[in-house]
Amino acid sequence: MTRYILRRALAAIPLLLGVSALTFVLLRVVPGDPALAMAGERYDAATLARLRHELGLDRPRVVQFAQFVGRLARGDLGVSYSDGRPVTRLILERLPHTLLLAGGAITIAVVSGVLLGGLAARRPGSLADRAVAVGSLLGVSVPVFTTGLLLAFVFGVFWKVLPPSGSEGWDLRFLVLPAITLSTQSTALIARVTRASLLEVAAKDFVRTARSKGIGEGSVFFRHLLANAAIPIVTVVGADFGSYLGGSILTESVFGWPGVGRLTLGAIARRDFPLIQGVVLFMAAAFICVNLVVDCLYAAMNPRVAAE
Amino acid sequence: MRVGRTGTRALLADPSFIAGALIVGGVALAALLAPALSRWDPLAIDLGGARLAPGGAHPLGTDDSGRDVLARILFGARISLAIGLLARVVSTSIGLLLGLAAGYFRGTVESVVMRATDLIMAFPSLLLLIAVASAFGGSLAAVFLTLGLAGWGPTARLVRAQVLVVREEEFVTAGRAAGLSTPRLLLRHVLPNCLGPVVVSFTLGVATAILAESSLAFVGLGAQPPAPSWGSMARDGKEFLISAPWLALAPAGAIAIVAFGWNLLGDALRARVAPETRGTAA
Repeated sequence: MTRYILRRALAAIPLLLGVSALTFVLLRVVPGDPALAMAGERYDAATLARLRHELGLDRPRVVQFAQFVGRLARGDLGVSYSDGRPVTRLILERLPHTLLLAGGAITIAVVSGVLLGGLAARRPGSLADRAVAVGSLLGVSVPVFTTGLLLAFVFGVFWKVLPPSGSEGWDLRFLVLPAITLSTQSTALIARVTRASLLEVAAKDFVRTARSKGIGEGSVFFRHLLANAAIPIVTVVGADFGSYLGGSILTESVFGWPGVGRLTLGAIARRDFPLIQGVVLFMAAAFICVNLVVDCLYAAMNPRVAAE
Repeated sequence: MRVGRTGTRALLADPSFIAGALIVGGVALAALLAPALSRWDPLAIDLGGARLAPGGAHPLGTDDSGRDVLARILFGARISLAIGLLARVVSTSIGLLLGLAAGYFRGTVESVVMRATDLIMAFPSLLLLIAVASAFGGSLAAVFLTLGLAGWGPTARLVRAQVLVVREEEFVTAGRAAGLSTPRLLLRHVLPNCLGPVVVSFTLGVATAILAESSLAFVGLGAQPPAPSWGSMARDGKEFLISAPWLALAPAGAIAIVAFGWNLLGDALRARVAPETRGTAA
């Protein structure tokens, strides 16, 4: 098990390097000179040369890349053009809000996805099963911002039961609509996978044995069915984590939620490239790490995986 | 793809297929006939008639600049469909080529291709799109190329897995023994037997590309104004959710309907091509 975890962790390193290389290349092909962007409208040749030297832009690309990776290893993502503060600090400031949003969304998605999937799997082909099938296809088809705009309109503007946007400290009423919005696509995905996985397990002999021993239906569901159907569900939750990162940008845009997503939107609007690239790199790294954790969970739940 | 006659008949009787075909066909028709369906110019500004409520001469109202929302949605269908299809053609072609090479030649080619696939798929998709789009700007060509270049990962994986199975088949060995050239063997014998799942992933992928295009436009990186892209219409309309909700809800709903149509089609096709995967995430 330890060896398996180590092997997976080592495999993540080239991936992280590759992600930084790709980001580095993208940063360099951006039209326009970073030094020019920093110098602003009134600049002279001397200031420009000094800035270029400070940014290391006058050195060979290979050296620049090595320095870039060296700084990354120390958690230094550069300095925001528009704000002048370190990108890492800007991200960490906003991160708690995004974690709260994503945490709320994942909780909603797992609970409702497993419940809906379970409901559908009870009687394949029944009305409930068809409703869940259509609903989950609709769930993956509706863009995050459409869901957000609809919810904000219906509950925030029309019925006025929840605030349509913004946030005040840790008032959780503001969290409800954004978290539901961010959870919908994932709920749909989890419901589909749960249904398929439960149906597969339900056909196994040990389930019939459990039932024939007279174990209650609730106990059969949780102890025998769900416990054995959980592996694909955990996998899809991990694989879908990337959609939370992208989805949080859209959700935060609709609801004015002050997280990393809104930070990204501001950076896009101001063409603040170090900040855009910093967020992308940070989130890609987070995605890789989450998948590493999911791989390990997967191995813990299914010892055969680690033994391979 | 070989569906066979009974397969085709079953497909035509599948309610998801019919519903999907109706939605996708209807939207394609609306896109083609946009000039005939609306008497308004989607770009014509009329500040005197800004934010008129739906009804009368403007069935879906007018936007902040007095442009007819219905006309903009009809013309927006062109952008949405064109970008969705073109992006998918680009990413499917890249994915097919790389997957075919990786699965058939194995060895170094396979490791390089699969590591590149891992890398491109290690980025959360919207973030990769944002990174690339912020570097290349927002012309329509840049948007579909961005989507195409970022989206080939799943197809490459899928095709490689198919090729690994097909290359062991006897007819491939027979073809090789008969002295067929490698390109001919790949194109005439290996490729056609891998296409079923690719058609499914193409169809589902159009939905993904349409959603991705609208998301990019929604964050301000899509087709630039005044082009009537649904995502940017929803973005502009968001500011008027209280006073003129139709501005955001109409285009946002249009995207959902189109993506739903493509997903219905893809799901129905998948049920025919690979019945065992229906209801799972692919």
